[in-house]
This record gives sequence, C-alpha cells and structure tokens, in this order.
Amino acid sequence: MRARRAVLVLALTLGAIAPLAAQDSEFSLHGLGLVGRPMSARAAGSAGALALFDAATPLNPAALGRWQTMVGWVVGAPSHGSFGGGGQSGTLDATRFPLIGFATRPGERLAIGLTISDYLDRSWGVSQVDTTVLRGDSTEFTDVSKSLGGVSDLQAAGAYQVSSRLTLGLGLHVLTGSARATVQREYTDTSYTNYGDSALTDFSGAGLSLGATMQITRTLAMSGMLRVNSSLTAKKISTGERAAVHLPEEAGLGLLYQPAPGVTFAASAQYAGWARASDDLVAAGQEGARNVWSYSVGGELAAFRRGSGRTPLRFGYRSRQLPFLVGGALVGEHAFSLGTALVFASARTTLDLGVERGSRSVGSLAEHFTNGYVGLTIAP
Amino acid sequence: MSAWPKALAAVLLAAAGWSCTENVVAPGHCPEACTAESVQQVDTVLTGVIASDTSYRGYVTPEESSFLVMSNTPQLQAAAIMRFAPRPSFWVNSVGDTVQLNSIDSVLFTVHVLKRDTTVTTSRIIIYQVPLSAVDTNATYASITSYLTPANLVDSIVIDSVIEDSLDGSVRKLLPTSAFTPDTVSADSGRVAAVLVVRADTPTVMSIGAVDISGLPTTINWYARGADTTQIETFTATPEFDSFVQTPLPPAASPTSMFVGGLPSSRALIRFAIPSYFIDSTTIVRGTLVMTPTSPVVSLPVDTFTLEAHGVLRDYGPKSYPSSSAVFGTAGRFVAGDSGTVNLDLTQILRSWRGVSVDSLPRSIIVIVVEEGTTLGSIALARSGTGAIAPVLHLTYIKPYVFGVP
Repeated sequence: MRARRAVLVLALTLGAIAPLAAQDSEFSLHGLGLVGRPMSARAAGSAGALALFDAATPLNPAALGRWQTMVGWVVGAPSHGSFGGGGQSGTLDATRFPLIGFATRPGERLAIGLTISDYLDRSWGVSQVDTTVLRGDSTEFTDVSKSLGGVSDLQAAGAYQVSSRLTLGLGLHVLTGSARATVQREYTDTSYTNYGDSALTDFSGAGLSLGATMQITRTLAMSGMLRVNSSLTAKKISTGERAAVHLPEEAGLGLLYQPAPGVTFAASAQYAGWARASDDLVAAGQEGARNVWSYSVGGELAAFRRGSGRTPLRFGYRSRQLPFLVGGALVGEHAFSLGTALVFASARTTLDLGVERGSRSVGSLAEHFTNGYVGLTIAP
Repeated sequence: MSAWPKALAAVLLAAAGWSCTENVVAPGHCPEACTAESVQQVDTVLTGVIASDTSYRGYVTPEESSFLVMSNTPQLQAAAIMRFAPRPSFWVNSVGDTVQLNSIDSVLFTVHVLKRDTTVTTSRIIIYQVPLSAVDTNATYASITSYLTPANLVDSIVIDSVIEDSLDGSVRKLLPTSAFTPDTVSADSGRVAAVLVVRADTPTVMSIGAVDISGLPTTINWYARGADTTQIETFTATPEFDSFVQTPLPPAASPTSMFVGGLPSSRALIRFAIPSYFIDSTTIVRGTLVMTPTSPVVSLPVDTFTLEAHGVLRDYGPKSYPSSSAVFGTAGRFVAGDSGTVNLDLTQILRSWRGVSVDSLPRSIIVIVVEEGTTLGSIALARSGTGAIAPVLHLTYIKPYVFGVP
C-alpha cells in the first residue's frame, strides 16, 4: 500500500513537469544565464532565509530529514517584470514551474527524495529596431534574438538523522537541459524576405552536495551545505560543437531562531565561486564571471488563527549578486517578499503562497520584477 | 463544500491559465543588454553567374491566342484571318418540314474589338472575303496581301470614339446580301473565309476577339428565306479556324538578345552558376536578376504585361518543366516603349535551391510573360557576354549566423 502511494505521489508530481526555469530576465543573456533560485513557495515567502532549513528546497540535502511522511510538491512561479535602460523599456511575463519534488521515509532515521529544479535560466529575448541603407534606400528592420530553455538540476538526496540534534545529508546532482536560441530579422519593406535561424544546445553536468542541520539550543538551529560541480558541457546539436564551462563550488550557512512557538527568524548567506567559469566564458567570447555572495533575512509568524490552527505570515529581504559580468560589473539583485500558507485535508495538503518584489540593476540598466510562488504539497 | 476548497480550485485554475502566457522579449540596449553575436547582412552584385541563357519561340501560336491582331504601323503589319464553319443550305421548320434556302434577306457581320489606340478616331476595319485555300496555318502576311484586292473587298466598319454596340465591345455591320455567299461547288461547301485589316489616317493597331478562350469570336449571321417566303431562318457561323499573320515575325534569340513574350510566344531559359556559398550557406533575403532591354518593349496600345520567372524542375531545354507557380519571381508591369532596367525578383526561387543538389533541382529559371497568349507584348533582353548590359544578380543576404556555445 505504501509503495502504491509512493508511486502515485511520484506520478502526480512528475506528471506536472513542465519546462523548468526561474523567472525570465533580460540579464539571462549574459554568461550561462540567470542563476536559478530553486525555492519552495515557503522559502520564497521568507526571501530564502528559511531555504537551508526547508525540506522542500533542494539546497541542503540534510533538510530532507524534516519530512515525516511521504510527500510530493510542486511550485508554480508566474512572473512579471519591466526592463529599462538607454531610453528603452519593455515588459516581461512568464510562468514556470521551477521546482518539483518527491520524498519519503524508508526508515525511521532516513529520508530520501528526488527533486527537479532550475539551475540556470536561459530564457531571454532582445528586440532592436534599426535602419540600414539597401540598394540606395533606407530600410528599417527589427532584429529579435531569443533563447528559451535552461539547465535543470535533478537531485537524488538522502538525509540521515544522526541524533536528535544533528542530521546529515548527501545529494547527487545531474544537470541537464537544453536551450533553443533563435534570431530573426524582419524588414518593414516587404521586398525583403524576413530572416530567421535557430540552434539547439544541450547541456549536461553533475554535482555532489553535502549538508547538515543542527539544533544548537532549544531556540537556535544552524544549517550548512557544500556543493561541488563538474564542468557544464554544452553541445550544439546541429554541428556537434562542444564547450565546457567550469561550475562553481558553493557553500551556504543559515541560522534559525525560534524565540517562541510560532515565531521564527532566520538568516542565511551563500557563496558561489563562479570565477572558475570566467576563463571559459571569455574563451567563448563572453564577459567573465566573478565569485558572488547572496544574503537573506526573514521570518515566519503564526499570525492568523484559522480553525484549530494558525496561518503563517512569512516575510523577508534578500540581496544577491549575479555572477556574470555586464559591462565589466556585477548585477545586483534585491527583493522583499511576503508569503503565507493554507492547510487542507487534515494537513495532508498545503498550499503555500509567496510573492516578491525586487529589482536587478547594473549601470544604467534596471529590471524590476514581481514573482509569484504557488506551492502545492500533498502528503497522501 | 466549504469556501477554502473552492478558493484552492480557483487559484489552481488561475495558475493554469497564467501558465500559457510568455513574453520574454525586451528592447535591446547595446552593448550591455545585447547578444555578442549579430546579424551580418551583405548587399552585393554578382556578375558572371549565368552559365547560359537563350530564348525559344512557339509556346503559344497566333491561332491559339485569345485575340487577333490587325496593324498597319511601320513596326508591325498584321491582318486577321478566319475560316467560318459551314452555312447550311436548308433547315427544318417548326412542324418538321425541310425548307430549302432560297434567298438571303441580309447578312450581319459582328466583331468584338478588344484593344485599340483610342487616340486614333478614324480607324476602319476593312473586310475581305478570300478563297478558303488562302486561310490556314501556312498563311503569311505576304500571301494574304495578294488577296487584298477590290474584287475581294466586302465592306468596312468605322470604329469611332464610341465603338461598342453592346457592353462586350461588339461592333455590328449589315453587309450586302451577296456578301459571304459560300462556295457551293468545292468540297468545302458552305464555308467562307475572311481577312480583316485595319486602316486609319495614321498608323494604328487593334485587336479583336478570337474563337479561342475569349468567347468573343467574329460572327456572321445570314437571315435566310425559303421558296415559301413565310419560311425564315437565321444561320450563324463562327470561325472554325482563326489567326493573324504579321510581318515582321517576332525575332528569334540572337547572340546578344533573348526574347520573352510576343506571338508566337517566346520564353527565356537562364541557367545559373552561382557559387554554392551564396545558395547553401547564406540566407538570401532579396535576390534580383537585373536585366537590360536591348530595344524598347513591343506591345499593343493600352496593353500591359508582366514578366514572371519560374524555377525549372527538369531542364530539357525548350521543353523544360517549370516548377509550380508557388515559387516564382516577378518583375513590374511593362507597356509599349518601356526601355528601363528589368528587375526580376528571384528571392523565393533562390531560396528554394538551398540544400538541394543541382542534380535534383537545376539552378535554372524560365522567364515568361504572365499574360502569354493574351498579349502581343514582348521584350528583348541582353544576354550574358554583352559586357556592361549583361544580366547581373543583385543579392542581399545574411551571412551564416554563429550561435555561441555555450
């Protein structure tokens, strides 16, 4: 019966798989794309401050140990943004499913899980209007360059509860995905035939992550993770051309403070050594990359009474750098977030909702975004 | 059902609907928010890319055309010729009795003027009745003129500024009752033949409907009466053969010129030797074959025509098989006297050759007049090897785009 339920949950969660990617950004066109933030809706509601402690967020494999039963979850993330710079502006809209997961507890101390999440988002588009003199006449044209796709992170992870205070985790990662790049030129003069071309690039790589969560005191917990990755291999399907880019070592540390029941504050910091990829990117004709940090602070309050339980209010602020240089500088990203959750069916179904409003900027370029997160967690 | 499950269902439905939207394109701000790669466009003129070119004549002949030409201009002398179907010598009346033709009350001759020079208001169509043997496919302008004698003259029709007797452009003329009396002696009993020429105070040209395609052929009506004068009948005859003879004949290809159009109609066959880089590696966004006329366009007054190029599916010289009309190129409209450069758009044809071997799809085109068979318009174009006026290929193309990896 348990096995059938497991298969059912796995089928339900994987059946909902759609192309995985995070919110779309014009900064995705630099380097390897926009680095993903695979967050559950709960973690996103706290701006990622709870991410290293959150069982549904595939950052720290040790956090899987927090699942007490078989469970499946999926996150949908509609996004809306506006982009401006150099006197030009535009809007961006997309809806993705950046995280799908399944976990179960085969033993009293062991939890295992499988997640599919976004690692790199390579969905972007750039439109330019210009004129050129052809055959003696000024001819207007519009160039549109687009990329759709990204790299997903398939993680198989396990968490082992060493003691009542310490849980260790191990995650094996397979990076896979593809992106189709297209370019089009449309002429306003219909004497000229529009031009278009496309190329599909496949990506592959692997990674290994280690994690730990530790209850230091009754009110204070700490969580940490380390991750190493292989190179990311890109292969252009049409020509077989290959390129490899070193991926970063990553580390993260989080603190969680619960001064009273229903009151949680958290903070985390993460590091990614993307400078390793710099030489590879420069060799491919792009700007380089640098090591980057990200920080977040936030909390969760059991604020509103609903029935016999309480509905949480989540909040947070985060700041991070995007690793790929734009005009020689790093892009900064900042966002505030809010979130809540609704529990149904005797706590077997949870609907987490989150929203964040933020911006990315470098030089005169700025992008403002609003991301929504809808997370559905089912424990049959 | 409580409110919460309904709210959950609404949220999921809204999310599902929202998941269909996507707009990830924003204006580029270069260089910071542009791709490193860019579209490389080249505009160039290729010379010496024609391997061979010539023209062939005889695709549509004058007897197959939808019109007949009459002309007395210095550039073209032409006369319409026609042989009518037999006129019966009896008829069966309403009660089933056979009535022998005894006399003709009147003869009505009807022609349909299609095109003429409206600036000439003194035009007349001169009608001659000629022996049947004079009118066949071997007739020439020279052979016909020998029959244009007063003895063969039947009548003339004045074509003034308002020519039409009806909306279809028909002009009717009552002829003497003795006109077009069939030869009842020879084996071709009942038939008559006619030659029509045009005359005016100034040289002019005119076209009339033919029995083929137009549906407006020349017609003779005989209003007949029997020995019993109360018995009357109308006999109507249209040509069983009509054509026109002309001098000079449309020219054949010369070492310096190829011809397109005219009657008998000509088509040009052009074989290309374009470096495969341009066809197979680049993306052609506009390809124009630029050709120079070697003489002004010949056409009827108020007549226009269009050139069209078709790719060749099988190259059998004059009998080459053109591709479907879905892939063709066009040039602008031409009228008599035009002498400007001809720009024939070959973009779609050039693009259709991409990635296809020359063995499978010859890199050749056939240039025709779209209105072939329904216009006298023709154009003489300079062939390759004529130096500065030889055809050239004007290409605008996009170089192979290099998508970056990663």
